[in-house]
Amino acid sequence: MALFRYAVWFCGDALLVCLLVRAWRASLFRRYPHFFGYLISVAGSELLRVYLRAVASERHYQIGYWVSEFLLAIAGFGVTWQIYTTILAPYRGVRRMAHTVLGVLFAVVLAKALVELTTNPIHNLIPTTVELEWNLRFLQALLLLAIAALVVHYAVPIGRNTRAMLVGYGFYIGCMVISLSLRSQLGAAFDATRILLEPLGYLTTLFVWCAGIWSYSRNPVPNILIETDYHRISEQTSRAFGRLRTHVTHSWRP
Amino acid sequence: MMNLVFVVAISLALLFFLWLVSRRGSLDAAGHNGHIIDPSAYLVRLPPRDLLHRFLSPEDIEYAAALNSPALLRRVVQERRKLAAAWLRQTKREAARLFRLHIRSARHAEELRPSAEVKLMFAAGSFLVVYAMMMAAVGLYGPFRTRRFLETIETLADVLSNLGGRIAESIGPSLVPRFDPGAGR
Repeated sequence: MALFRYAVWFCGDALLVCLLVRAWRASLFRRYPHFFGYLISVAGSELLRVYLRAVASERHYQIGYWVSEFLLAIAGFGVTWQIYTTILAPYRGVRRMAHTVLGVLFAVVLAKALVELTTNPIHNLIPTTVELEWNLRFLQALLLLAIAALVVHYAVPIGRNTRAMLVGYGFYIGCMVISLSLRSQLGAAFDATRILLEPLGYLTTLFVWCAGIWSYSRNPVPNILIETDYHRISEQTSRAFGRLRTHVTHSWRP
Repeated sequence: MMNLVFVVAISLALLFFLWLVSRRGSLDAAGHNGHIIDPSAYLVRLPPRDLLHRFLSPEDIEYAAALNSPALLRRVVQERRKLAAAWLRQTKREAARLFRLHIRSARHAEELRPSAEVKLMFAAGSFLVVYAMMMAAVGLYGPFRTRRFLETIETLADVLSNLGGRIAESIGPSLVPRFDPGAGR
């Protein structure tokens, strides 16, 4: 089992480094700043933890670990933000509305965590971080579900990069939420499965990202020549359904 | 436990939608973007009412019944049932076409309003309910009995409407309290 965990850890870090080097060479940082900000945070936290493990005491390592975990949970929200920004880029009104909603929800969750931390930072660090992680992950699961449903329902055109971001991160968040829920319900009995499930979810996500974000792929731009008088279209379709409904019942009259 | 079921259901729904997203080609929808939608596409193409009347004409049934062949009569009724179901399905196809057209147009709209989308969903949903009821009635009772059933309902609705009108007339304007603007002074 230990060998498997080392193999997953090594593969994960190798893929992360590949992705960052590739993104740097393809100038993807400025195109997806929040997404790569998160990846840089992950890489930075890995380095910090390795450094602390090597030179610091157990207590300092624990504090460093949980502080980096707290910051990573916050940085992770940047991926959801990036997904919303990229997918909704051509739809100004909807994007503005989505940003407001995302910002307010994030601020509420973060404010709750900060209030808890201010009372006794060291003592509350671990429970607050765990709660913040759980809250943000569940919130992101809901937000990603909403955007994925919108993409499917409205057949919103998305490019390869954005699709990889959405599918990869959504998969990771979905796995984490299921894993954390089962852990809280089943207790330590679930730990054996959990230490397999979570690294595998992370590794799968990195594979999806490497495959989809290896090079830049432009998001398809919708053609504005298509009818955009939304109010008229909506009224027209609503009336058409009314006519169809009447036709289905009234046509049977002799 | 309920909380766990809810959370896992959300996560599974997320994974399902991600699977749908990953199945779609990245530029599949973009393929539609190059075309301007023909304004005539917004017209409702209703299946002809005459066609329904033609295959539900009582003369055919009377003629088949006059031949004194139960097998033939059963065959005629079965055929008419299939035709009625096909006619109904045509309305559903038209509804699906209109809905797809709306989605194709609305996804480019800047002023997309959730309330309007919900209203539209409700309109589509109520059509589907009526359609399902009609399909069930045609499937269970056959088109002829469904037609008679609808006629009975309409007659009943007319009777109730007339009755309501007469009751309203009998109450008369004298019994309705009048609004007196100076009453409160």
